[in-house]
Amino acid sequence: MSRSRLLALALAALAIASPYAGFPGWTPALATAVAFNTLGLLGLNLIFGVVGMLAFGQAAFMALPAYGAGILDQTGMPFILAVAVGVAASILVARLVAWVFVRLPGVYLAVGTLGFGYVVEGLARAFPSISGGASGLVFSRGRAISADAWYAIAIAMLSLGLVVYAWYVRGGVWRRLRTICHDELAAAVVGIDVVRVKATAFTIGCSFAVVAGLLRAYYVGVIIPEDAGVDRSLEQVGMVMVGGLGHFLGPLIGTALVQWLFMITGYASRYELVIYGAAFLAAVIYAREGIAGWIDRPWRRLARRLDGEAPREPALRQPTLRSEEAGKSGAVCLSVAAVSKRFGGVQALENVSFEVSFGEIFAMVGPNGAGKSTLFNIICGIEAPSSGTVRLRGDDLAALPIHRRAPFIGRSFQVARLVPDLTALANVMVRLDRIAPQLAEAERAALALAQLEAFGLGPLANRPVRTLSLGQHKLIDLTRAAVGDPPLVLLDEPAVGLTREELTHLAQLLEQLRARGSAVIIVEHNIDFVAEITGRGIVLDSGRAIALGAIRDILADQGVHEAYFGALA
Amino acid sequence: MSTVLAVEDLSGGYRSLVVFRDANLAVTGSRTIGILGPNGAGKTTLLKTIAGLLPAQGGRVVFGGRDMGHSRAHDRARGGLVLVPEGRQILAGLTVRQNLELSRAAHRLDDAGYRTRLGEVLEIFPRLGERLGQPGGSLSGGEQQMLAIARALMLDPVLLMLDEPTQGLAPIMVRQVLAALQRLKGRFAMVVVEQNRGFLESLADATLMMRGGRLSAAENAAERA
Amino acid sequence: MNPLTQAVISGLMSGAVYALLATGLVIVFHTAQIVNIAHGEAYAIGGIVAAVAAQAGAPLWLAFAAAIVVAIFFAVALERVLLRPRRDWSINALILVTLAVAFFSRGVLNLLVGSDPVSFPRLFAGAPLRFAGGVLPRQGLGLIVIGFTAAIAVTAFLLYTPLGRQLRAAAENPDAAELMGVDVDRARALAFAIAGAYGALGAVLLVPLVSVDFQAGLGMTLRGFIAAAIAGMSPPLAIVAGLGLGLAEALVTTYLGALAQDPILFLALIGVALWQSRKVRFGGSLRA
Repeated sequence: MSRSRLLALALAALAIASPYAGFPGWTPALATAVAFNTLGLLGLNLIFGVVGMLAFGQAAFMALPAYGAGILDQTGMPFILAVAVGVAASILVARLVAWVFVRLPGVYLAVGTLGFGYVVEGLARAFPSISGGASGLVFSRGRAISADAWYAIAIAMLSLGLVVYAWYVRGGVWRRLRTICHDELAAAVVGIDVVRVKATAFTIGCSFAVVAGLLRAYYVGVIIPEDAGVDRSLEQVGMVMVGGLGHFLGPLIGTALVQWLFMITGYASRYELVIYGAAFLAAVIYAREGIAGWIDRPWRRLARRLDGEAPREPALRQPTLRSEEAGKSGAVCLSVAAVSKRFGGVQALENVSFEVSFGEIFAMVGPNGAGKSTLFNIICGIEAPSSGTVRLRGDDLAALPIHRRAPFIGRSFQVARLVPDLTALANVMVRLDRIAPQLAEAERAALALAQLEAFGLGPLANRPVRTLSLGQHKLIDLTRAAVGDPPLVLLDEPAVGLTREELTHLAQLLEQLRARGSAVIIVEHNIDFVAEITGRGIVLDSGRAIALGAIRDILADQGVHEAYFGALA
Repeated sequence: MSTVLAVEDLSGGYRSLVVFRDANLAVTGSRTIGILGPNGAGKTTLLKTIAGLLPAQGGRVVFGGRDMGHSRAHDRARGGLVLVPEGRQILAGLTVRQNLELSRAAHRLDDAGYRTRLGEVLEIFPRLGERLGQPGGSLSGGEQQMLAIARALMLDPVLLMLDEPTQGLAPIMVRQVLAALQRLKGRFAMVVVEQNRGFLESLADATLMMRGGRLSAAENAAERA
Repeated sequence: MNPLTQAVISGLMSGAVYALLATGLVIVFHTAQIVNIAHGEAYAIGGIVAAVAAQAGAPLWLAFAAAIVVAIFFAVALERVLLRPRRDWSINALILVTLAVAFFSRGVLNLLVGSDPVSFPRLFAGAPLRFAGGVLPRQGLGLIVIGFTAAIAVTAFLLYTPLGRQLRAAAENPDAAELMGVDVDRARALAFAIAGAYGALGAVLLVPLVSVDFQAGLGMTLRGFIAAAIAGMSPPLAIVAGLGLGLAEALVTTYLGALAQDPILFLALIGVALWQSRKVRFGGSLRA
């Protein structure tokens, strides 16, 4: 075990023992409550900190199972059954809330969970005969367990929660969630089913709350309507922010600090809300990384000093992922037939048809507004055509949503869409996570690294993307599109913003792709570049194809000159 | 002849990224200056900085003898420093007439002056006159470029800057834009940024080159990307 | 006593307030591109400031003026000090800022008047109007007339006046509007000021009938958002949606009881959400 890990364990042991040390206000009772709350907030950290979904219902999801189990318990249902039903029903409700709101812009989930909190609190108040009304529901079974035993249970459950969290939020899942957080369109294009993943993350996050809330209710002995309410949820968001959004220990630090401060300063003072609000505001504006964010870098430095440099992973033999469907050079890969697209009053595309074969680089040329991006979007699935069909290897793509086309279509963007705080390697791996889930993490890393090296980007692999230049971003975006040798690769203005050296590099990359059998379509304005590397192409103007065929021919075409070429002389 | 615009050692960019450095430029009287350069050279950033949309990172912009300092774009427009931005940037939700009327926010012309100017502008761009009541978003690319220039004219410019006015236009539209600008030449100073060398040669009194963030006197050899 | 008529009257009154709030929310959304969670605080602040001033003995018109001024100040300060310097932050981060402000505002209001509801005298006193089996207090009539007129006025302002069009231009394309001489910062501040004023106006008119407490803000934001969402963020439709929401709420309260309000509201939100989802191709945020 590494030295830094030993240090971490020692610190953890100290932390666990600390309530018995006699610090003012930091008692085992408080620590137990803190532990249960933290367990619930691990879920909020996942939902909000990692995936970026703003949600204000965590407290409601902590109270709901307690009310559920408590009410069922009172009806005489066996205890275990009441608990199980309470937990299961609450998780189901979380899944429903996710299903309704996750597909929409983030503000819907925010307001929706806010409303949910109102509803739970309101219902609890509305039926006092069932829910105990304002004085709440009492749980007497918990009293049978001693205070120290409760503390032990709390620590055990929190540790379990942390382990589960750490196990879940790593590797491919971490990359996927961070990509969604940063850029949902890019996530969809690389194959992530954004709605499903967000809904799952939300449900898992709420499950943490459900388990923690139930335990806490039995520990504290009572659940009141305010525990479900909006104020409590807002406090919790504040705790996670103060502790450190997205950081592993963020919820723990935040909850412990805030609850201890409240204990010290007197919870019931009238200044509580104002001070809390001010602290929340200050945290949101000035300290978005939270306390864990401040500790993170010094800790990493310390860990490195203790452990020395990480040993280089032995290079694995790169598994081949050549899909058998890559097809022989010359066979038709993509077939676009009579595609038209209307946006309101504007005819963006009219009756466009062309075919692209495997092992060919095909150019799409035309002035801005000619419909090139629209056509790309239709092929990728971001837009649906008003009429016409798009076929890949003979299969009609109409039924496939964006993320299901990812294994067959790699796409890069005009402005590279990468996740800044992931490394170049991680960014490329995200696509592999979807198209090659059967490979182990290390194999995927090896494959992604090999692709980066094939494109001359090897040295950049472990650097976070935000430290790299825009030209390098584009090349990494391209690498991500090309990894796994998809049958079709779409490149949107890859040459824009590249230096002369990078352009030569790009030409080599494209040639490699072609040689490996992929069909490559590139949109470009740089006519010299296009003439150099592509074989055939299409010229679009105002949504119509005005020339189609060999590059030399269409660039010399009279009609093309009249309609378009003059602008680029 | 008076110096309308003097750009001295100007540097600019976005936040920590410096896109262009030490640009020096002087436009006198009603001359037309062209700036030629490939994508990514910093031309748009330069114009945006002169217009006040982006803060200068070094150096200064002197317009009509006054240091523009930190004054914002709308103040500069109200002073007659007008930019026709890249990509036209027509307000799609407003009609053609309303797009033109937006210029009244700059308080450059009184009611009578506005009507007179409108008549002149519609004479130069008759297509717009036919489409006064239509929403800006329904115009074709070329018509939108006409509208963008027209509404800049409604601002009664002392200096008119145009950022790639031919971008994305079919050659027939390019010819119309060129004709319109040739008609306006001499009424006020102009700075035209373009990738289209032929266009600038037909229009500008002098042409500068911009590459890799540096502005310099034009070279004869045809250079691109 | 006809419960239906009474419900309609009640619905018109709260509908007027929701129309004011929804219109303000939509204006801010269009100008600053964010949903302001502290929007409803203008209502709470307006109501409470008026109550405090009235209790301190100030004449009613002064109390109302103070309420509106403070609410405007609050809204404009939020825009200027907190949001404007951070325009490059993500939408989520900015929504979080407005949330923090709402939270802080609640705390301050709690400090000011504690947790009990407060109120102040009506502007329009006198015998209530009776017709069709319902009772309409004069204050209520004033609320309905003034509220809807104000909401319609600002919508007309946006659509038909040059300044209103400048505001819309500033919202649609701030850079292009700047280049045309429009002071975009001032436009944004104006939008927030209108939103703040309208929230306070709603409070000044409604609170004498229902009283207000320090928590009222978030509830109003919730309702304003639901109405705005139903209206698809369109200013003229926001008035209709606000009215509809008020009526629906009143009918639910009359026939199902006051406690059914929040759940029904939540169901309305779910309904709107499901309706909006039809059009979304892939999950999540608006595309940049």
